[in-house]
Amino acid sequence: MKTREVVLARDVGVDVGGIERELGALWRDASKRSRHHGQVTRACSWNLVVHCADDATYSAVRPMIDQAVRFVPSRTLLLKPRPNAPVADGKAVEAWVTAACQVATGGGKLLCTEEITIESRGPEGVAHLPGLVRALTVPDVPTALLWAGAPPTSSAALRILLAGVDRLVFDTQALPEGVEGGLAKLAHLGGLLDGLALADLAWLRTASLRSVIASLFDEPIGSAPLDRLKRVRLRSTPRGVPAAKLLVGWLASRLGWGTPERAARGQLGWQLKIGTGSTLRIDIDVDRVTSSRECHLHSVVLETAQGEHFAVTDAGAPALEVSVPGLASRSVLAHEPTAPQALVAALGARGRDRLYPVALHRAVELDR
Amino acid sequence: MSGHANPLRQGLVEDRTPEPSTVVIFGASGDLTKRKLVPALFSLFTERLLPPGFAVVGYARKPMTDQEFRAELHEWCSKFARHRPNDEEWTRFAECLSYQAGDYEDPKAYAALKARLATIEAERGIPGNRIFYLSTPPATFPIAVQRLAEGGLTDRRGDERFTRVIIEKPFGTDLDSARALNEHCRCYLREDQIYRIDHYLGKETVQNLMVFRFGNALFEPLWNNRFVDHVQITGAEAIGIEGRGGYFDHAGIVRDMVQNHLFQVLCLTAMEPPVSVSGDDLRDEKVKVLKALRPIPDGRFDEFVVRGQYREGSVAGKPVPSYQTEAGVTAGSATETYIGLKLFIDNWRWAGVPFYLRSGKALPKKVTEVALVFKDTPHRLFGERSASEPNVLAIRIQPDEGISVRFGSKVPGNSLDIHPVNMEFRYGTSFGAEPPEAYERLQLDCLLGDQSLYTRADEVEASWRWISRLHEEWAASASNDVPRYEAGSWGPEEADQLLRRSGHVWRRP
Ligand SMILES: NC(=O)c1ccc[n+]([C@@H]2O[C@H](COP(=O)([O-])OP(=O)(O)OC[C@H]3O[C@@H](n4cnc5c(N)ncnc54)[C@H](OP(=O)(O)O)[C@@H]3O)[C@@H](O)[C@H]2O)c1
Repeated sequence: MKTREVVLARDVGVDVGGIERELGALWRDASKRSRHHGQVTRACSWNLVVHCADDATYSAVRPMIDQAVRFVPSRTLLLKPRPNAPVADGKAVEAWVTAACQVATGGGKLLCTEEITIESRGPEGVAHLPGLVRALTVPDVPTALLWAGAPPTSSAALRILLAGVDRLVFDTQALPEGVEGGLAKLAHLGGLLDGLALADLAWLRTASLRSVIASLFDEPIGSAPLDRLKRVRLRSTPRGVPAAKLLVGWLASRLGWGTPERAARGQLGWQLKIGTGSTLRIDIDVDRVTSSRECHLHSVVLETAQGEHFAVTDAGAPALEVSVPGLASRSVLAHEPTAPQALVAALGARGRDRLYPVALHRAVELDR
Repeated sequence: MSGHANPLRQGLVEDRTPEPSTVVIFGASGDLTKRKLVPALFSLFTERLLPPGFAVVGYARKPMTDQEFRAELHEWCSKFARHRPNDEEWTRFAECLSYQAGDYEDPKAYAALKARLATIEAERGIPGNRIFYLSTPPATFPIAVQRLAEGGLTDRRGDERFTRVIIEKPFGTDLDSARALNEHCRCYLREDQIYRIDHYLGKETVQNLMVFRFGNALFEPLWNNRFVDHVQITGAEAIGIEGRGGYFDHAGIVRDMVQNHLFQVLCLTAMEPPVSVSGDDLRDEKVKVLKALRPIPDGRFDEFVVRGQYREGSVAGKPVPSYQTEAGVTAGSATETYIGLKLFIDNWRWAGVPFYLRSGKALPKKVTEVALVFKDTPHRLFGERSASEPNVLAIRIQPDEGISVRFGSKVPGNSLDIHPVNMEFRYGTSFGAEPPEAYERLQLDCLLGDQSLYTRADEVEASWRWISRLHEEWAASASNDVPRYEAGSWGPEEADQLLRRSGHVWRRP
C-alpha cells in the first residue's frame, strides 16, 4: 500500500487534475514493482463515496471498506467533513491517494483499487465536497454513498446525494436510541430523489431471519395460519428497535395489514386490522432483552386466535430455534453477514431489494 | 414451488428455495459424488438454498454405513466445497446424509431403497419429492430408470409430488444409442422428469455468454455475417488422458468434449435471442442452431474435418508419453485426441461464416474460448499502415474468464503507424465474489423444476445426428491413419491447413 499526499491550495479551488496525476503515478509504480506478478489490473465497478462525520466513525468504518473493496473493486472517496475545524495553513481541503493491491484469484495479475481521502475544514471546505465528488467519480460506473455512523435524517446528505449518487447505503441500527421518526426522515429523503436506491445494512442483517420466518409457513403447514393471527411479539434490545420495526413493516406489506394505531403514547405497542377484519396486536419488547445476533433481535413470535405459536428465537448466533405447532422445535443455522459482507451485499442486487422501500414505508407508520 | 404460495417467501432473495425433497445419488461411492455433487449440495446448504426438510441418500453397491459415508464425505467436502465446513455446519449437514447399499438391477434392492426413503421422509417431514441422480457408468442408466419406475420410486403420472431423474453424461454414444435411451426413458418418465446434465451449462461464464450477447445493446448488431468473418471455438486440455485410457479409447475427444460441451458453447454463440431464458424457449433456439448445421458433403470430408492423436512431447515442461503407450489404449488405436472442424450454420444470420471448432488433449494449455474475428474495414483509409490484424472479440470461458477486444490504435509518434492493442475485461477482477460451482446451480435448478439448463431429447439427438456422421465416416474409411501431433503443440499441421485454405489462421489463445 502506498500513500501520497496532495495539497489542494485554497485559492486554486479543487485540483482534481493533481489527484488524478498522483493516482496515475501510483499505477506506474505498482506496475514497476509487480513485475513478478505480471500485469497490474485496475478494476472499478463502483464509485464508493464514504461520508465519515468524525474521526471515530472513520476509524470504525476503515476496516469494513478495506475488506469490502476486495470483493467489489471500487474507487473509494473517503470524505471527512470537519465544518467546525479551523482552516490550518490556509488549506481548506486536503487529499491523499492510495492504491490497494492484491494478487487476483487464480494468481498472476495484481489487482488494484484506489482510494482518495478528502478532509475538508470549515464551512467553506465542506462546501467543496459535492463538487469534488462530481469531479472525482469514475464515469460510467454507478456511485454509492455510504453514510457511516448515524444515517442522515435531515437533508444534510442531500447536497452530496445530488452530486449524482445512485445508491445510499446506511445503517438504521445506528439511529440514536430513542429517536422517533428517524425512519420517516429517511423515507422522506429517499422519496426526494427519484431513482435513488436505499440500502439499509440493518435490513440486510435481518435477511436470514426473515427467510426463517417465511419458512415456518411453507408446506406442509402452509400460509393459512397467517390469516388467523391475533398477536405478534418481537423482543429486541433497544438498538434492535429499528430492525424490529422494519420486520413489522415487512410483515405488514407482505400480508396486507391495515394501518397501525398506537396502543398507548410512547409505548411500542400497536393494533391494526388484518385482511379478515379481525384485530391484531403488535408489541416490541425491549425490557431486559439480550441478543447474540448482530441485528439485536431476540425473538419473533406469531400467535393465532386459536393459540398456535410460531416462534423464531435466538439460540446463540448463528443458530435460531424454530418452533411450530405439532412438531418438535429444532435449531437452524441462520448466518448474518459481517460488516464487510453486509456492505458487499449492499453494493449488489440485495442493495436494491424491492421489498425494502415498501417495508420502510410501512414501518414508518409505526412512528406516527 | 411452495415459495409462491407463501406470501412471506415472495421477493426474498432466497425465494428460489425448493420444496422439501430427497436427492438420491446412484453411484454414491464414486468420484463425481465426492468431488462435485455432495460438495455442491453442501454449499447450497450453507447458503440456505436448500429447504429445511431435505435429505441426501447415497446409493451404491459398496457396503458402507451411514457413519462411514458421512465421514468420507466430510473429508471430501473439506477439500472440494467452496465453503469449507466448520464443525457446527458439518454436524447439521451430516444429519441430512444417509447411505443405502444396493444393486442397480435387483428389484429387491429397490424395494429396500423405497422403504428406507419412506422412513427418512417421515422423520424429516419430506412429502415424497424425490430426485434420483444417476452418477453411475452409462451402461446402468437404462436399468436404473426402469427399476425405479417398476419399484414405484418414480411416478410418471402428474402427481402432487415430484420425482425427477438426472442423467449424467454421456447420453448415448451415437445417434442410435441416444435415440434408444430417449425412447427407453420415455417409457418410464415424462420429458419434464428427465434432466440430462451437461455441466458446462452450469458454468457462470457459459451463462454469461447469453448475458453478454442479449443483455447489452453494443454487440448483438455486429453478431452476424455482415460483420463477422469467421468464428473460432477452442476447448483445449493440457492434460493427456491420465489413467482414463480405457474410457477414452472408446470415446475419443469428439464424444468426450465436442458433442456435448463445445456444441453447447456453439449453440449459445450462434443462436437467435430466445423469447425468454426459462423453460423451453432457450432450448428451442439451441435446437434450431443444431438443425441448421450443414452436413458434411459426401467425398469432401477432409475439407471440413481434421483429427489427430498426440505423440510423445512435453506440456508446460512436463514430459507426456505418446497416446499409443498410455495404459488402457489398444495397440494401433485410431481414437482421435484432437479434432478440428469447419462448420457452417445455414441460416439467415450466419450464411457463409465458417465456425472453426477445435478440441484436444495434451495441447499447450487448458483453455476454452470463443473468438469472433471481424471483417476488414470497407476501405483502407490508412493504406499500408492500417492494422493488418483483424478486430477480434474473444470470450474466455475458462480459466481466467473474461472478454477482450482487439483493435488498431495509432502508435505514439509523428508518423501514422497503426498497431493492434487489446482491451480486457476480467470477470474475476470486476467481481471479487466467487461464482457458484456448475453442479450447485444445476442441482438447485433440478430441485426447483427448472430444465432450461438441461439438455432436451431433441437437442441431444440433433447433436448426435451431426456428430455420428464423423464416426461413420471414420469407421468406413479404409485408412486407419490419424495425423500425429506433438504433445504440447496446438495440434497437427493438417489443422492449420484446414484454415489456411480459406485464408484464416488459428488464434493462439
Ligand atoms: N468424474 C467426472 O468428472 C465426470 C464428469 C462428467 C461426467 N461424469 C459421469 O458421471 C458418472 C459418474 O462418474 P464417476 O467419475 O463418479 O464414475 P465412477 O467413479 O466410475 O462410478 C461411480 C460409481 O458407479 C458404480 N460403478 C462403477 N462401475 C460400475 C459398473 N461397471 N457397473 C455398475 N456400477 C458401476 C460404482 O459404485 P458401486 O460399485 O459401489 O456401485 C462407482 O463408485 C459417469 O456416468 C460419468 O460418465 C463424470
